[in-house]
Amino acid sequence: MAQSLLTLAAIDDVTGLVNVVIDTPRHSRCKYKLDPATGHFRLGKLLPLGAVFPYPFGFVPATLGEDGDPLDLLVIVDEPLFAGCVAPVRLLGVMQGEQRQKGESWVRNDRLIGAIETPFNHPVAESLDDLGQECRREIEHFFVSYNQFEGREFRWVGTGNAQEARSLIERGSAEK
Amino acid sequence: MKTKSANQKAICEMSPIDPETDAVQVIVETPRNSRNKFRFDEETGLFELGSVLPAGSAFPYDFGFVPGTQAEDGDPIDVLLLMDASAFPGCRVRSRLIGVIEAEQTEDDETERNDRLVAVAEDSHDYRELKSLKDLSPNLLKELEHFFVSYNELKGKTFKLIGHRGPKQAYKLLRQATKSKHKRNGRK
Repeated sequence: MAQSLLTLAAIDDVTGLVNVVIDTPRHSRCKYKLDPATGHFRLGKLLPLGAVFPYPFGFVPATLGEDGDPLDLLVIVDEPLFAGCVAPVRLLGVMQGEQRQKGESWVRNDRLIGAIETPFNHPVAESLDDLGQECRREIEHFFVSYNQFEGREFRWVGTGNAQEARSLIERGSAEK
Repeated sequence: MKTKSANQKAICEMSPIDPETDAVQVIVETPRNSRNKFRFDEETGLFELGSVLPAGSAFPYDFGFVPGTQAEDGDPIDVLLLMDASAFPGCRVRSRLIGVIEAEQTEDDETERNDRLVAVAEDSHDYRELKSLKDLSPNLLKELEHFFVSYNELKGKTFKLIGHRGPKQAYKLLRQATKSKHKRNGRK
């Protein structure tokens, strides 16, 4: 199973949707991560007590972000999904952030945002704006808050629409 | 006079200490891992939805209060209850106190003391040996603090940890809060 995840394309040929590989299910306090060297899912860490992933979190295969890992993507969906699940995702946009360790310089760490789309499930939103301010504020707070606990600074610097999110994936695929 | 069910009435009239076992009686309001914060309304005798925590937050342990007490903020004294599995709103859990997390909460420029007692369920397996907050790993205390700071922050409140103390101070606070409650009832 895990081997095929490593060779998966970023975009599905037939549907044009993004193939998102879920690392961490919604409501999980454990953060899992696919180890590309071995193809195993590893437990990366536990979030601090009282913190859980607000939505399923994963990555876009065959891409490389500025932080050296594949591009991250948060899937807006009510269900938890599971680690290793490939989810068909419509891009809503990108929340642009950067982080730094104490004494080091800022590194870009954007989070793509998407929604599930299947022949039976219309995406719950079409853009970041559709999600509403409260939802976005809570997502922002989640990332700032747990990074802060781990001694990293995280700040949001802007947002991009679905088109910009798409270009990031295309650029990320080229880098790879 | 609103009518209350026998169970709800019982909660309002309970004493902080169980006369049969001398254990501290904790009434759970919000179970562990819940994103909903529930609270007991003494006026109506109902458990109600107090608020919904921000996405990505959930209660790290069961949270509730000791009946028959009144803390500085006017509400019954808050308790964070350590046990192996979660209970449910309204459940009475016989417990012992292991300490207190001392904190201040500020909202609209008003600062008030909002300490949280920390208790262990008498029947707990995992926490059986725990006698004092000082026995908990320092990291766990930091995580608990971060939880309260983080979810209050998004509500526009600041939560500042002052310190933490052991069981002696916790029982002292409980006695004070019991006296405050008696005084208030005496005035009625």
